[in-house]
Amino acid sequence: MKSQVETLKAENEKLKSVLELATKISHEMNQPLTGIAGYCDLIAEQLDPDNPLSRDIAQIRKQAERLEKLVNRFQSVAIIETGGWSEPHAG
Amino acid sequence: MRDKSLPPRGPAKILIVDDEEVVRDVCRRSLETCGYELVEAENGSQALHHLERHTFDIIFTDLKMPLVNGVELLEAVKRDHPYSEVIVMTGLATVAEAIETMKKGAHDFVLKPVRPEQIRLTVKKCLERILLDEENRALRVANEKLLELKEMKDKFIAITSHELRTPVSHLKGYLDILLNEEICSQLSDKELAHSKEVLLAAVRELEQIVDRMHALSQTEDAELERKLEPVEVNGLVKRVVLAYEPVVRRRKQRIELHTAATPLDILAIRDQIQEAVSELVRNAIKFTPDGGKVQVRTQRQGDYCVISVKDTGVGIDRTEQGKIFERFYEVQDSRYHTSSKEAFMGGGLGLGLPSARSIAAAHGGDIKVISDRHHGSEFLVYLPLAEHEPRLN
Repeated sequence: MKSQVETLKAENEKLKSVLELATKISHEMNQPLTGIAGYCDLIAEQLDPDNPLSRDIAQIRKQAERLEKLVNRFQSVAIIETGGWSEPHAG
Repeated sequence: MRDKSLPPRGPAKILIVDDEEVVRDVCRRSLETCGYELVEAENGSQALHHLERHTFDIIFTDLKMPLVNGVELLEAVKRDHPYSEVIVMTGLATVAEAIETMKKGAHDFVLKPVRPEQIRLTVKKCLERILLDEENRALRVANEKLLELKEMKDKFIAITSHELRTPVSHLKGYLDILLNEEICSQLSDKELAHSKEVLLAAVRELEQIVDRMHALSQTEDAELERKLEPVEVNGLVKRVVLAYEPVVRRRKQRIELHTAATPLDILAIRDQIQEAVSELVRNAIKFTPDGGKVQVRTQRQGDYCVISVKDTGVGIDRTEQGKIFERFYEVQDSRYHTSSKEAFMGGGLGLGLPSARSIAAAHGGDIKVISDRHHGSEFLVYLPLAEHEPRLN
């Protein structure tokens, strides 16, 4: 009986730390996302709407937004799952 | 939209702080086209370094940075640069922390990944707020000045109408008599002569008030330079002292004059210098009880001529020595309250000393006072000598 509880506890801890690691990674992802989406916006602002490139740029932007939404969803879920938030490291 | 009374303002200065070059670059590129002045810092301590040398309107910063982080930076800004605003960048994970920074004084936050349009909008909103605050402060200051002016105006009107009352009532009263043929024909020669004297004195008093006000407004005239003429100070002071001898006699005081051995020549507006010296002599007589002594002296001191008016009067308390040069300030002492111009401690317009000092200052000099309560006062007028100008009699 005792060992079952011990095992569950250990598994729980493992899950928690995996979640924490994944959360830290997703937080890190904000920086390159800022880069991709940000530069896309900046380029888009400089293109005429009838420029063939603007369509491609819009595509990249859309994908970046998808990533962004994923990251955000993950982070919100992580907050709920870990019942609060432990400090992500610098960056 | 900006109030016209405010001085023009340069472009907004923004400090961008983030340890990731990509983020800094996107921020900078987004804001470049808006005409702001942009400076970048890699971390909190670099940011603080910049803040020591410049003031920024907005500090746009990440929260998590090595060395000095966003929160510490925020605290430092709020402490040392109260008119600068902070906008923080935060990931969704650290939103709670971002909200905490708002409580600590951050103006706004943007969610990462930050997008150019969002950056621009947040900065623009923040700037509008900053400009409004600036305008508010400037308007407050202007309002205070206006209230001060209003107070001065009210005081001036009150005092002036009070001062004018006596000579005007004399004029009216005696003119009524003189213009009434019936009464006039019954007056004795002595009574007639007396009436005329009173009328003349009243007009002279009105003239004096007008002169003093004129002198006061004149000293604020930038065209002063063109009206200067050579003036010999010993002669001028002698004439002033002579003019006050009747008053001195009536008050049973003594007035002594010691002039410098050599002529003291200055470039000045004669009437104004005369008015300034008259004012000091008048005050000395006023604030010295009957039987006291007034000493007037002129001498050369370096590049200046110094006119000293010393009395054995009530003196001026140290705490009041600054105030006596303020317009409309009158030394109040109810024990000696009287509206008479000549009597001991008689009231007055309060225009005299400030005018006199303005005049001295406009001529490149100053008026100083050495005094203490119950120990008399000495007023010293410093005026630059016209060393290289030819002497004129």
